Amino acid sequence: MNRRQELVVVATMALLVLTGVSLLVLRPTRQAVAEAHADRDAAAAESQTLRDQVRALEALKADEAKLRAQAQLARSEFPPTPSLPALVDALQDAASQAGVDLGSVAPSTPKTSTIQPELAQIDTSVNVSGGYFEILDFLTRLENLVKGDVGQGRVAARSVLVQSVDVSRDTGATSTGGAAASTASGSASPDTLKATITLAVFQRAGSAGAPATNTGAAQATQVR
Amino acid sequence: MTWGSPQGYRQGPPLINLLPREIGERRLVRRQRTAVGAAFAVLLALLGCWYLLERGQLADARREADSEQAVAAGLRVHKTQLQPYADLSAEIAAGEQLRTRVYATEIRFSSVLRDLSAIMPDNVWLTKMTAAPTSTTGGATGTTGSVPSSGASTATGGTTPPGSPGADSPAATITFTGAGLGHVDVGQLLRALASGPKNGGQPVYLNPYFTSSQKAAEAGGEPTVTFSASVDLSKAAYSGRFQPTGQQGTVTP
Repeated sequence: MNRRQELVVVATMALLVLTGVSLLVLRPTRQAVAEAHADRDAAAAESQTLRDQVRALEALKADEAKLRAQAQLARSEFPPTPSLPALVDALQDAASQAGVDLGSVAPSTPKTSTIQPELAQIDTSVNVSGGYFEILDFLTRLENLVKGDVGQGRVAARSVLVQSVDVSRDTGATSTGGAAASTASGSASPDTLKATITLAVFQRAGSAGAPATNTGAAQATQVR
Repeated sequence: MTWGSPQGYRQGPPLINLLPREIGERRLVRRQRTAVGAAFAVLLALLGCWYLLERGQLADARREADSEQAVAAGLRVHKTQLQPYADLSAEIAAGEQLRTRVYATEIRFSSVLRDLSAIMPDNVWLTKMTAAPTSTTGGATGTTGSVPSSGASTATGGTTPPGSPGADSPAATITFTGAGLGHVDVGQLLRALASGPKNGGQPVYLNPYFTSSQKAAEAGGEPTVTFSASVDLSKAAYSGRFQPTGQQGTVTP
């Protein structure tokens, strides 16, 4: 090997050493730097997302009282149990405030709702008697039960859907009234009408309380 | 060297190298080795600097990543503390969703009763009225026993003719029995129902129909007729309560 070749070999070896150093030491370090940057970016992105979520939650916290009231309303609209005492209270209050006589309340056994499978439906037949406009007022109060604004007192919101209404002359009424007895016109009528109102009352299905069945045949009639 | 060669232009005396050739070559080799060694050392030093620089950057990046992760961890803890509010919000949203679905096809029968009291002609009065959604009107429409059942098709399987009970896929049906002073008053009731309230330009009351109008015994010296009739409620009768904006509507007489 002459000197020139020796020199080329030495230079090549030196270059190999340098390349080896850069591959073995610098490259892993650079990879570690890139990984650390990626970690930092991921953490920064997560922080930003969390910051947005926390900001939204802080906004909710600011309206805590309103939030709790709304949640309470949602809970009472669709209670986890049939909650029949509250329903009877609500019906009685609505009847008293409307000026109708609440004759009977007959809730059926809860069954899975055809409207929303998450709910159980209690078909309830309500009989009232009173004047046309008193019955109309009672119906309005029933329809507004979902908002919990039947009036003052003990009535909580409850999801109630009026399914059918049957109004007829109350044959058991003492007044006779003649031909214009059961008028639905705007003229005032002293006659008493009888209304059978079918309600769908809702509760959450699959929770504690009465199990939701598909039969709904049995009825527990509460007659005043 | 000859006159006229390029070196002939050099100023001063001619240079004569008296060193032996081997010594010159040795010097050249030594110089080349030194140059290679120096270059190697310089490159090694540069690599060392680069490495130090990278280590510094790595330390900075790790510090920044740790700092951001600490911030994220703090925010996670804060978020966990605020989680009950998120749960409440989710509960409210779920309740609203249920309410929206339950009331999607609600008909406010109080509005129907109010409408009827407003449009009822003077010489007509009702003795019985049944209102029920079409899906459950099997019993409701059957109460009078004389009104054809609602639905898009008749019992024979044909299409329901326009204007007859059950045409245009009604949402509900109201059946009446009542009395009037004459047959024309029954017609007037049907006319009043046909031109009844509208919701969003759509008629609320569809297919008014009567199945009987019969002269009855005179009441108080005045002849009367008794009748059985029905009217369907279109989908415009849906209250639209608790529905997303754009799907709401109110019945306007």
